[in-house]
Amino acid sequence: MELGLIEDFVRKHESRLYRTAVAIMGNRADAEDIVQDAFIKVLEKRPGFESPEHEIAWLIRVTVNLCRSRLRSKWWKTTEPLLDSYPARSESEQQLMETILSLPAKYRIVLHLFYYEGYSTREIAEVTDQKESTVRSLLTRARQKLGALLKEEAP
Amino acid sequence: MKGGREGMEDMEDREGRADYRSYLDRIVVDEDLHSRIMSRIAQSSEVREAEWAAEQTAQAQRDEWAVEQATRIAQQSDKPRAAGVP
Repeated sequence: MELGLIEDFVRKHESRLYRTAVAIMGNRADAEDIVQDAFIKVLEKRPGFESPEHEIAWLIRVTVNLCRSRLRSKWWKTTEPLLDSYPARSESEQQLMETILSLPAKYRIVLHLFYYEGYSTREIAEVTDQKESTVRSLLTRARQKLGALLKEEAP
Repeated sequence: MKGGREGMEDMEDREGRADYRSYLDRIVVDEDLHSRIMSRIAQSSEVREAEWAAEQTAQAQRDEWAVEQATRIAQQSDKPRAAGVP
C-alpha cells in the first residue's frame, strides 16, 4: 500500500482503536503499542474488506486479540494509571471510570463494545470469538459487578 | 446525576453511559502519537523489505548452488569411464 493511503487509513481508525485498547488495558503505554501492532498486522495481512463496517469490526477484533494476549503475557507496562493520563471531568465520571477499570478485562471488553461501540451481543460474539450466550452472561455479570461496586462506594 | 451515585447503579443508567462515552470521546490520538504510529509502521515495513531481500538473496544462492551441483554431476557423467570400472 502506498504511504499516503496508509496514512489516510491510519488517521481514519487510529483514535477508535486507541480508545478500545485504552478501555481494555487501562493505560496509555500498552494501548499505544497495541494500536501500532494492530496497524502492522493489517498491513501484513492486507485483508479484503467487504464494507466499512467489516473493516472496523476486523480492526477492533485484532485490537481486542492483541489486548488479550498482552494481558496473558504478564509483561504489560501498566505505568501511569489511566485517570492520571486522562483526568475525569466530574466526580461521577471519576467514580464510574475507577469502578470500570477495577473490573477484570473480560468484563471491560464486553462493556466497551456494547456501550461505546454499540455492538449487539451477536456482533460482540463474532468480534471476540465467543458464544453469544457467553457474551450475554459476561454482560449481565459485568453490570451486576458494576452496580455492586458503585453501591459499595456510595456514602 | 440524579441522587448522586444512585443514578449510576449500572451502565443501563443513561447518565452512567453518557459519562463513559464522554470520558472515552476525549481520548484521541494526537499528532505526536500519530507520528509514533506512522514511524513504527515505516520501521516494520523496512524490516519486512529487508527480510524479503535477504530471503531473495538466500534463494538466489541456493539456486546457484543447485545449478553448480547439477553441472558438476553432468560433467562427471560425461567423462569416459576408466577401464575395469563397471
